[in-house]
Amino acid sequence: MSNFFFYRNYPLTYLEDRALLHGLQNFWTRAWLLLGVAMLLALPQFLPQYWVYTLNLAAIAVIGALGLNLLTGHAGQISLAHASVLAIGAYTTASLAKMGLPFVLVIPASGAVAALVGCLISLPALRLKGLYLALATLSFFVIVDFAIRKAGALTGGAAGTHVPPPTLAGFTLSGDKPFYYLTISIAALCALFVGNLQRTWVGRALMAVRDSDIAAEMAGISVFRTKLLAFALSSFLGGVAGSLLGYYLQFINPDNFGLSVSVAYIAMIIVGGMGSVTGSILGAVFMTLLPEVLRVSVHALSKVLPALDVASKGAFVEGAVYGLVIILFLMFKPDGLARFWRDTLNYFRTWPFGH
Amino acid sequence: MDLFIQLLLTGTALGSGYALGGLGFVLIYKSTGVFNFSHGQLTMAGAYFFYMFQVQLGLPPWWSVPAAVASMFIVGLAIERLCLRRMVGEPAIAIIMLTIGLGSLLRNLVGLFWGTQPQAPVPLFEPGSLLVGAFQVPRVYIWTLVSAAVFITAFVVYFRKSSQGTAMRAVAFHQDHASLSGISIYRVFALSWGMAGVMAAISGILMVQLVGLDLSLDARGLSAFPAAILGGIDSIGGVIIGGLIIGVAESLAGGYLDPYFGGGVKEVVGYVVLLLILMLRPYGLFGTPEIRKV
Repeated sequence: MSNFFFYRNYPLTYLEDRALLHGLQNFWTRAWLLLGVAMLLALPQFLPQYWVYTLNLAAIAVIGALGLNLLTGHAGQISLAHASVLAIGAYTTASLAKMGLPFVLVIPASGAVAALVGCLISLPALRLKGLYLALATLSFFVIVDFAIRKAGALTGGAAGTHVPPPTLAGFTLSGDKPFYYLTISIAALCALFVGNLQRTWVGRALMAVRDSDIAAEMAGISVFRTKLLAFALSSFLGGVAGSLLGYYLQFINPDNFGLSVSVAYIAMIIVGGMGSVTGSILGAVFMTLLPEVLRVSVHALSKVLPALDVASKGAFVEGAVYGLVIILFLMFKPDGLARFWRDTLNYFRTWPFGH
Repeated sequence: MDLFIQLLLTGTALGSGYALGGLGFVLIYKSTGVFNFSHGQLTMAGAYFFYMFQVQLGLPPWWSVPAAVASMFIVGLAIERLCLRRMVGEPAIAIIMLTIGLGSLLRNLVGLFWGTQPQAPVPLFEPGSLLVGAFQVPRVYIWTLVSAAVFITAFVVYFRKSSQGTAMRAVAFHQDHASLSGISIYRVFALSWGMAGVMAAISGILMVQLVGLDLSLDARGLSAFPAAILGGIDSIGGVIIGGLIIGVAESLAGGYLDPYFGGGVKEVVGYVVLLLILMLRPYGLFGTPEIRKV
């Protein structure tokens, strides 16, 4: 019976040990996984348009959170400049898409430009850590924000710029549902990429630098190269997320990429769980759905208490809850939802013989 | 030349506000080892409390200023008691992120209560200007400078001479040793956060006199970061000089560069200085060099 719901979580053969998803040899695990994928694919057909929109934003957030988690969770480098990385991706997309390039080229190109900028951000990181690094990335954020607002010819300045819809060989991708399949497949690719990366020597090197840079250097890992790589990879994913966001919103301005966006991404990886792919996914989905749930509940509340002015104060409620969620998770669940999910699974797996 | 002197004076007045804000920030770092990313929001909250007591409740200045300062003392105590005390011994990255979350919470709570519209508190100091040498200097600048100087001196004396200040310095020097000589670490932590709230409130109230009150004030309060890093994060004298330098640099950049960029240079220049300092001399002008090469 337990095979039906949960497979054993310890490997018995080398083949199992090497597998990306443990227990994939088990028939029922495969069946559950397939069912999950099928549900994910069928979801937009049953949901109202607004929720498909939210799911799209969640899938984009998953990509960005995977990027930040690679940097902060795996490599231990704190960054407040993730919003700038997203902005670079989005603005590159705006410029390239206006030239009429197909989206299969634009999205990786935006990621690549963002990765270059990420290398630039990493320059101070090569010497700094902890709070000094946080401050250096904060300055980068302020400077990039200033540059975007001032480079009016390229970015449209504070007023923002229009992003043409994604095209491929004369065919234009528009509407929430087709976009859902695009974002969700890219998100799945990114999750696979990060999941595989953490099993290679590169991923191990990132974690070694996080745990102790001196020990890593002693073990023959070039800390310089590893940190550079961490920033480049993280910014690439951030740039891809920004690119998709630009395509999806169709109009971007600097306010889309404020400091609150950086904070929101930090909240996602804390809530989800540092250094975990499951954590990035859970955290991003949780933090994207939370404001929606809040909005619905505040709206319901405002019918009882008309003093609650939803229209003008929704953003503040959202931001306050982001802050509160960060604080509460750090204090009470520092390992995030990923750990909670694993504990829950283990509880049922060993039930009724826990401990 | 006139413009230069004017900008220098504006910058010094603004910088004294930054220095005062930065002091609270250095105080927390020195005695508790926490780098407080919510300092800008604390400054803003102090200014809004002042506005609430002065305009919304209609108290006279001699009541509204102490009331705002006292409320921020309590806010500081509450933050320490509810959040930071549980985080003792956690990795630095977690504590930094906690204060980032705290900043987001404070900022949005302020927005929730007072809205996005700029508010108009009644000026504390009489308008008009004074003739100093050959220059017309607005009274606000002189009063701001004088009050900042008074509060900074009072704080430094408190930190050096009083028994509580000595306890704070002892904890900053070595927590275990301080604890062994009978100093309550928690009390010192709580007091440090309370004092930081007081500093933030005073600097917020002074900054309101110079730049007005709206939700962008937290960015002003954040200028305490460049000030503290420039001076050296663990140096009290350094943060005062750092604050003045940042204030003057912002004011000069605003005066001379804004026409070329079309505004907004003022907000960025502090961070450019910060980035340069971080890359060249991370321990600042007067800080303790912490030699760690990887």
